Amino acid sequence: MRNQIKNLFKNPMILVFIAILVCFTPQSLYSPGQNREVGVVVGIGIDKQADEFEVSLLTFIPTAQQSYEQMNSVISGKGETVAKALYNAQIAMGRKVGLSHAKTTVVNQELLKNDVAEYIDYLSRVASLSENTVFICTDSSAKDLLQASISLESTVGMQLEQIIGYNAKNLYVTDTSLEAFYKGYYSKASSSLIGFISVECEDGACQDGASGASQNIGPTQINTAGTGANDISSSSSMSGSSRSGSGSGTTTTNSTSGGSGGGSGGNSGSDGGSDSSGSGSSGGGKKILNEGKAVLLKNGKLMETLSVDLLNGINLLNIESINQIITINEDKEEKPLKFSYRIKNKRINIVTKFENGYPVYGAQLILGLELVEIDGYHENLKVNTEFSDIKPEIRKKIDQNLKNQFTEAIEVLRKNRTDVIGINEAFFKAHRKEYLHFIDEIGGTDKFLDYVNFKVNFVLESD
Amino acid sequence: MSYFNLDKKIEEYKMLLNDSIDFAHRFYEKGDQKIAFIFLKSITSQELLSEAVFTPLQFYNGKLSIENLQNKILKCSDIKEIEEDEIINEILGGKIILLTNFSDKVIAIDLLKFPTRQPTEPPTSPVIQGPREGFVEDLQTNITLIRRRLKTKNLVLKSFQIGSESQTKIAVTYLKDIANDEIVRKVIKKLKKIKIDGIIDSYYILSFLEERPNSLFKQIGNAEKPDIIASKMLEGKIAIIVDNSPIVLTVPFAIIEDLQNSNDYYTNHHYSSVIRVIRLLGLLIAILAPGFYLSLQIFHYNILPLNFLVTIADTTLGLPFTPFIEIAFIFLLFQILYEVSLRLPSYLGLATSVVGALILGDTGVKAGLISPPGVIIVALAKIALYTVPEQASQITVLQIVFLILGGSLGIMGIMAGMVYVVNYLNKLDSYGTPYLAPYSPRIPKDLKDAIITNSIIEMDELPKTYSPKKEKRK
Amino acid sequence: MKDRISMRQAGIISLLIIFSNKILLLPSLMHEYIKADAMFAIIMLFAIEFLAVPIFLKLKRTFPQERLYDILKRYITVVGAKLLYIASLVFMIFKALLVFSVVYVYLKEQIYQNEFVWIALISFLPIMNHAVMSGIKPTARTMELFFGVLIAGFVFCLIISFFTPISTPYFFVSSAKDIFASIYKYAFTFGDSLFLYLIIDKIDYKKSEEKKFYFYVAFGMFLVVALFFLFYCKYQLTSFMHNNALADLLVFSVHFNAIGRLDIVAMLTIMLSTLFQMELFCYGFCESFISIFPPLNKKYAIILFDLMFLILYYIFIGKYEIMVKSTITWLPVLGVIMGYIFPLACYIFTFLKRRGNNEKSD
Repeated sequence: MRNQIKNLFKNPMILVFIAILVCFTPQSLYSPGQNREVGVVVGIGIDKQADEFEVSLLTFIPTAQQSYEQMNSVISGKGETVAKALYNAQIAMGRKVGLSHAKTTVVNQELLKNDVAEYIDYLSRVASLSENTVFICTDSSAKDLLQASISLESTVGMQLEQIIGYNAKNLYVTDTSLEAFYKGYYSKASSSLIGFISVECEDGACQDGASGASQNIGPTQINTAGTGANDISSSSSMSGSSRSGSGSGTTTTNSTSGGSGGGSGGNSGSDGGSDSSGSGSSGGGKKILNEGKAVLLKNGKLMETLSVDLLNGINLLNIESINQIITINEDKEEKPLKFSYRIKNKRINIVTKFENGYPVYGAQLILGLELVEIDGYHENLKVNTEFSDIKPEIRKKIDQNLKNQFTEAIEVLRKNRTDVIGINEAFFKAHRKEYLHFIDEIGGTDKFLDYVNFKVNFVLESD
Repeated sequence: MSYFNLDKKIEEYKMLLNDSIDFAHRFYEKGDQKIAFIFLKSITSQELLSEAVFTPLQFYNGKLSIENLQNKILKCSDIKEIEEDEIINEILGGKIILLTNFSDKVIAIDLLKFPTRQPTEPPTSPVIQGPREGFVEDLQTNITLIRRRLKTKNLVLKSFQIGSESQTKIAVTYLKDIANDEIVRKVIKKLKKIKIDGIIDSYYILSFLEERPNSLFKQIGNAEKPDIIASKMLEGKIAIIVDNSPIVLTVPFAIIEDLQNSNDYYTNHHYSSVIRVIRLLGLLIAILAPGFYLSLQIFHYNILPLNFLVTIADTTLGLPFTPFIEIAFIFLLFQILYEVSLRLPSYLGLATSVVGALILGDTGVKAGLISPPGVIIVALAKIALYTVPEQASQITVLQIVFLILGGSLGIMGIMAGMVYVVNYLNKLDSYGTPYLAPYSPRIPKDLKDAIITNSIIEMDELPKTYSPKKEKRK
Repeated sequence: MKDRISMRQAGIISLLIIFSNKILLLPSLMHEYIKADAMFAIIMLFAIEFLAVPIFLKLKRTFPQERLYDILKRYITVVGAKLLYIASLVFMIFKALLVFSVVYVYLKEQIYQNEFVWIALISFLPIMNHAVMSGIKPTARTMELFFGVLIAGFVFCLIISFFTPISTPYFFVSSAKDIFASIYKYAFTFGDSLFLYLIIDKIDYKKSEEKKFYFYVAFGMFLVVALFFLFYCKYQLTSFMHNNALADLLVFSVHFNAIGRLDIVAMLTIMLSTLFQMELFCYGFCESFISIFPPLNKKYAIILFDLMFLILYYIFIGKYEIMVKSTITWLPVLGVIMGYIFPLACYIFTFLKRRGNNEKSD
């Protein structure tokens, strides 16, 4: 034994190492698992009411032998600042708030009336919250949205995130995250685009808060009333978009269904005790309504809510935006037909130049179209050469349709002075001198979009 | 003139050997010439004695002399003259001693015989394809097994007797054109220095050969199969065979040896590479998994993917213990089961596995004492341990160390511990061979037979790691 | 057992020591002042730093077995040599403090979520001390072993950033004056080749391995430049918001954390590289200390290092902001001296030696 100790002293570093082990064993013996001390937040909602902020946390608190749905609850706190409100929410929760798993941040429209960046400053500072957290806005209250999202699926708020993920990938064609917001915020045009999800009252279950959005019945409805197995219903009605001029409906099949069979029922929204702040907004009877909308922000202020068609128009110049459906009416003598084409692939050639001192944005879009439906015509599953080749008159109509879509979109952007498609950047990159000179002349980047002459040319390719 | 008083001598040796019951002697008389045979019945072959000694003596008609006995009469291969003071040792070594009254010379005939095993496949290193012979406890047989594989004049065999009581024979063998002379000299010097009463197994001399005997890590290689030893000797290593032990030691040693397995050379080298990578992963999992899991639970819940966090939170919620105690408890449980299953007779093995796996594991989970993720992690670590069975004992200690580090300092502690251990291993060297070669220091040519292996054709050079005398294998 | 390292190991050491806080804080810090033009600044800084390598090799060829201290003693007297060594001592400990505080803040925010200064100190200090105690050979070997893993982690972080769209940042938005001003400002974070000079006598020089040596240094610089470039490509205007370049590069590339927490790769890479850098800084400190006070051995050097480290950390620099600020206020002077003037002086020594030889032969 003595020799062993002597040997140890020969090598002091081993001694130090052993000392560390011995000293720290007791500490590790009594350290509890962090999951017992921390309330894992998966969604954050910020509401502003008058001068007060309300922070709602969609929290996952493990409770033995309970379904996942019951382990989720929305806990909120109020305060004069976001940090204070969060602190109060933490007190209400009785656990440390762990933000590192937060995947969604929701703010209500109220916050967007002023520069939202001033309000979410806390979120950008708190390091444990990842900046690629989804950042969306909602029409009524963020708290309701979080509450409505509880019973979407058995696993913690995944579904809401998936819906937004789908929107971001296919409709916005840009991230709708805190990072994306700031990127737009600091860009030349100080404008960004963030997702918009509304909350709708179901069958008049709630009286307040049902904003205009409730009148539109969107393509995807997700019912959160906790009635059990399959809460996701599909609706065949279409938002009446008048701009595109194609009033025809598309039947949406529900792609977001999936295994929500585990729902144990239980009126989760107003689950007892979960609403610690007692603010009285019962989540029961509210459902998430995803219409694929987005909001346009300028300097962090809300300018306009964009519909799916407008978004498609804005993203025409974005190579990643495909799968859009274009519907054309063909007035045949005997029977009117409606042709639906899907944009299968896209190639874009862009030329930016200054002509006579004015910026010209030329783009050639080569679109691969696929005929997906002929409404009013049916032939038994045979290869149809007649329609797969696009006729000149249809070609013309599609061309006109796309041009209209694009023009409308640009009009909206011009009106709001929000360049979310990076026209400023494109000119800055390619013709820096002329661009800066031009900006000086017109007095600021805001107006730049008004002077740009868009020459967009569509080339349609069939199968 | 009489050289030996045979009766008196016999009595003397009988007393020296404590009047043992296996002490035996015979006389052969022819005229006034008398020969005494002294031996131990227990370790000599009686049949051979009558066949090779007595029968030829009876048929011999000439005059007896030591020369005649040695060269003409006795039909044994191993006959030699010995000094008188060696008699006792020779008797103990299974020799038959011939004393005569017509010469002062003493003859020893080797008729050693004791029960030995057949060279069967050793349980510790079974092969799927490849030679199945294993070493046995008999030194001679073991040497035979090596000789059969290396029929070269360069094979050197040197013998020592160590152990004041056991007088164990130890053979040092190497290929003289490959093995580094300096290392050979060092090994022999160390062997000669050994002062011990008895050597029961080769592990007894292990500590004497190691350069840092107090280290946790083994610095001497070992194998139980002659094909492995032969291939190691071809790389320039020195084998030390100890009588009565089927384990043959080799020096110098680098840790990569334990990741190599004889099976690797008997299958496709691409497959061997995959297997070695898996073995390395197994090694890392075995050492780090429990500590890492613990650190995630205690410090870094935020690194866990949400779904996994939900599972862990859900399953650990009702446990009465802190995470560390839980893991330590499962760890202890596994270790106890392992020890028990080693010691229990094989017919009870099934019973232990039922008790271990079903009763303790499953019921433990159901009773809310341990959590399923904990059981999985510890079981994984414990099973992964045996991807490199030669390192099992060291890894078990390291597991505990990293468990404490993970539980008390988190990932940072684990990383620091890893760097510390590697730094320590880099200080170790076995007879001038860096412990972690050929990776640190990097020896590019030796990487052919490291984790990723090449085919035998490409391994045309001797590994520099073991500092051999020549470069090419030929 | 001789405590010597090969050229490859020396190359690896110089690669690892290049990283320091450049892979975490520096990209965003520089972006705040000169936007993406920080690229030019670091390329220039690296270009100057890279010049130290041929000078080092020349010095090694000229004085094959001599210690740096002895070389300095010969040309700038004992006092000069000691003063320079004291500067190197300060340089090393402040580098260690800078890297430690930057990494500490990163780890605190990302994985520990609490103040864990004791844990960090207990993880770092013994390892640093152990490296010094065991000598440069095992330490270099350890680095050699982990080198592949570390680089794989680093490259993985870089490659992953291609998984989301990136576009080239806008260059030439800052004036040349600003760029040069920032070169001076951040000089302290460079000049790491000093460490090589300190261990010049412990390297087994082989002419055939010079290329390898150059390769490692160039590769290290390339990695950092690539990191800067990809970082600016990815974040463009919001770069200044991301204080953990390497880790953030990974975090934001994975949409909605699809693959769980992939940034663990970056965390482990950062921890490993930090551990090694701290080992090297501690070694550099102790090496300087022993040269200044020859009768004292390693143990005293280590104790002094630990004490100074703790005292400076707690009393003087305790706050991370002060540390970071001091690197751009008064520490650049030290950086310029150790990183730029010192190698230049060494270059002159090689000339002096050659002249001395010529005179002798005449």
